[in-house]
Amino acid sequence: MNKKFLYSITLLLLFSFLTACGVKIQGIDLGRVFNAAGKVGDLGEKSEEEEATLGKNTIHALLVNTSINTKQQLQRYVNKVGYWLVRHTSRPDLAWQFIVLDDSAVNAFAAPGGYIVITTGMLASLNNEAELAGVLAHEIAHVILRHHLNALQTKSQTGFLLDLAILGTQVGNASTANEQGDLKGPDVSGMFDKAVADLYYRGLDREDEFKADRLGVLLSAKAGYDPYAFVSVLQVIGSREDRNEQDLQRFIRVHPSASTRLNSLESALFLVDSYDLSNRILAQRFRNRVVN
Amino acid sequence: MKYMMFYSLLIVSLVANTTLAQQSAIVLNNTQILDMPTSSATVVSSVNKDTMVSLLKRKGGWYQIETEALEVGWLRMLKVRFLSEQESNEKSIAKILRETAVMPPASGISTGVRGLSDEALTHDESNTPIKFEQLKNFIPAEESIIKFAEEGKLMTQESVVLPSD
Repeated sequence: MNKKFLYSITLLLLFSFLTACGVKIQGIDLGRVFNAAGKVGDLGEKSEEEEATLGKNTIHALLVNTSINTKQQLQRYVNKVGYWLVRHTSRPDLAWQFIVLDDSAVNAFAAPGGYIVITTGMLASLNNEAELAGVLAHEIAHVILRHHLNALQTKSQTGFLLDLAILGTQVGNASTANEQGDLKGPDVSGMFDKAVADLYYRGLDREDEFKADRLGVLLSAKAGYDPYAFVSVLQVIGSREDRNEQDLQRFIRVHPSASTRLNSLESALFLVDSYDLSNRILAQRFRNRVVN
Repeated sequence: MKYMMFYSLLIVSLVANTTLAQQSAIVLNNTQILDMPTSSATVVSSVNKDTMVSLLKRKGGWYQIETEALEVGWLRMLKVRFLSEQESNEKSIAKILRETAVMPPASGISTGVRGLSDEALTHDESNTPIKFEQLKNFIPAEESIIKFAEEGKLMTQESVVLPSD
């Protein structure tokens, strides 16, 4: 019997038991968590609603101790670029949200459900709107291709369900429950946060990054931006990789080297070259909206 | 006096190379330089692998470059790798020692680092913290997205086909 099947059966039994008992741990209704939040398990493809809930939990975990940039014009601008891009994807109706963080580190990342984060450090390293579009398009591509969602689900198969097995044993020992049905047990939220932190610390598979690069370049082109602006971003980052810059360490840790990414982009760029494109760059608008 | 002149040249050169460092690149393999940014253009010259060139400007997937022999032409973006600051300085110092001449920095290219400080982006007089729940206020209405695209002359490129998910 394969492992995945055993996990699924275990989860289904656990879910039925928790729902029937209405058991809570540290205030969390586990039946509800298992049913709606989709935080754990691999019971098939997640619905968009489940993905949205998972994404919200993920972004909340990632934004702890961070500072959202207070320039409303900047937030609006980045959202407009992002929303123009997502109109051209297969998933325009997700609850997309583009967030600028005050962080000098050069970084951008995505979370399931349509959350895209870009740091002021990344914005400061860009020249024009086409480069911004290229960076956002790469992150949008991760969401479209469900990379983080799949990675979190895979992770849950290998480690998180093990914790749940222990949790199941403890839940079974319901004599420890208090009158409200609350148990003192493993902190489900804590475990989830750990899984998220682990994924975002290690980064996605290299192949996922290459796929997001290729789709992102094509998406930029489809939205009317110069797709080669993203190549320029990667070339600049490549020239900074060996400088041991503190602000670039996180980016370097979770991404393949710029040179390998550029090599992998060749097929997408070959495709782009076959089109007659408008190639908008919009340097002045970028400067006006970002700096002023 | 002779030493003073040399060090003056060196200092001037290093200052100049702060700009040059952002605009210099290494050619990744032997390639031809063209007179226009298109594959069907006329060949002007050729450059060998590992040659250092200055990037003058970009058009689509092409860089206009200038060689050390002051030849100007176009080559594909992916044919070059940007020099790191350290590499650029090392090569420039070697060049100064070789030629005792200072190359003027190329200008007019935008290569990614434009010196905009992170502080300039974070500075905000009101500085009222934004909570996560308030972020939805920044989501643009449909009509403002269209207006935004029109202002930037952004048009959907119908010919581009995205791969299926």
